[in-house]
Amino acid sequence: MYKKIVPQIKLETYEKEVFEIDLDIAKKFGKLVPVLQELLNDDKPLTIKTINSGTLKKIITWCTYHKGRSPPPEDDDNRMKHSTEEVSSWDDKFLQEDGQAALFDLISAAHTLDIDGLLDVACKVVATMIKGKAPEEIRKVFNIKNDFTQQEEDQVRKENDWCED
Amino acid sequence: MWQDIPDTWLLEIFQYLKFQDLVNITAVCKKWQRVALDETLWRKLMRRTYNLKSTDLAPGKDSWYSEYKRFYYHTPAIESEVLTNHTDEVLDVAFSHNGKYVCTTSKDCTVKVWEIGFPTTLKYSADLKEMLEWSLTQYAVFNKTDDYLLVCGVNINGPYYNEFFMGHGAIFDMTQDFTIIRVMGMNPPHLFADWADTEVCLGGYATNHDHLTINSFKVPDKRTRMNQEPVKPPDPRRY
Repeated sequence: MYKKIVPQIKLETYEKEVFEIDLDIAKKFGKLVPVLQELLNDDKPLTIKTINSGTLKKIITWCTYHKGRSPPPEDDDNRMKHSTEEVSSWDDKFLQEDGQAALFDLISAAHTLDIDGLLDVACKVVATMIKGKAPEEIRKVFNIKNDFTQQEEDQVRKENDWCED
Repeated sequence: MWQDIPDTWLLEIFQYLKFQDLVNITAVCKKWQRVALDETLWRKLMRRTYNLKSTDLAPGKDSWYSEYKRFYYHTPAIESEVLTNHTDEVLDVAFSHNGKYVCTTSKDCTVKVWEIGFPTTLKYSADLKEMLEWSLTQYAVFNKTDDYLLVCGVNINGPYYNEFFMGHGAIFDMTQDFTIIRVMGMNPPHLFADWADTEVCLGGYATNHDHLTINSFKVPDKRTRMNQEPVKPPDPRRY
């Protein structure tokens, strides 16, 4: 039977698991673009210690899903017009389903590999989690320790009263 | 985890937030506070919200955050003061270029210049009915340097009523106790005058035959004014 040969590159994750990634997906990893040819010729996988297998799997799924769609041209102004409402329900569900730690790893990996589209959408999802919440709620959601003294906190609140209704 | 996230990553997240959320974030923890107050965020917000073309701060201002606050919070959207002095409907309000004065004209035929402040005070008032026998003051314009004020009005009922010039313009000197230094005629009255440059006014008159004449009036220079008699109501016979 005829099987189309797709050029692939190999990446090794933190858990030393090796992934074979199709070239057209690997092209979305901005950081890898300059070395793609090298990787294609090389049989040895490229090790990226900061990314775990679960995250890489998700990235591959995300890139495969978005393969057909080219991202809109992004200049500074265009970027600002994008609001958090523009996250598609597929993206929203996909990014949030594994919980916050996974989302954090995904953002971290998107930075490491320089995947613009994924980074934007992940940041928007995090922004949605912040939206409309009081400081205490934000701390709770993101598990952040309050490092203000009581006095400092009162001061901040006083300074912030200009935007309360 | 989220507390130790690099600043640049936080910035990428925060750029999608509205200002209320950013302000809320300043009370979450010190690191988030520092990033939420980042000037690049507020510059973007400011430019987006108020549609600013400029990428630079206004002269004398040093923070986009405080500019945003000033625009949102310190710009009063409520009635701050009521100026009562006119006895009839106010027809027009003119602002001086230096932002110090505001001038009102009214059906009570007076022109009043207010000095803006807290509270706003009446600086000059002139009754054009008394001075030139007008029936109302329609509107006023400051010249570029705010030295002269051109006041236009209608002169229909007075004894100097003239079928050619029902409209009148008077130039007041703001630097010398609000005296009238020049009077000009216009017709019809709603064909008003304006400043062509700092010392020249353009006015005109239209006839029934689709004919429009534009006249220019120059502010008399200070030396000749010294020797001049005070301006009197125009003599109708001159026209």
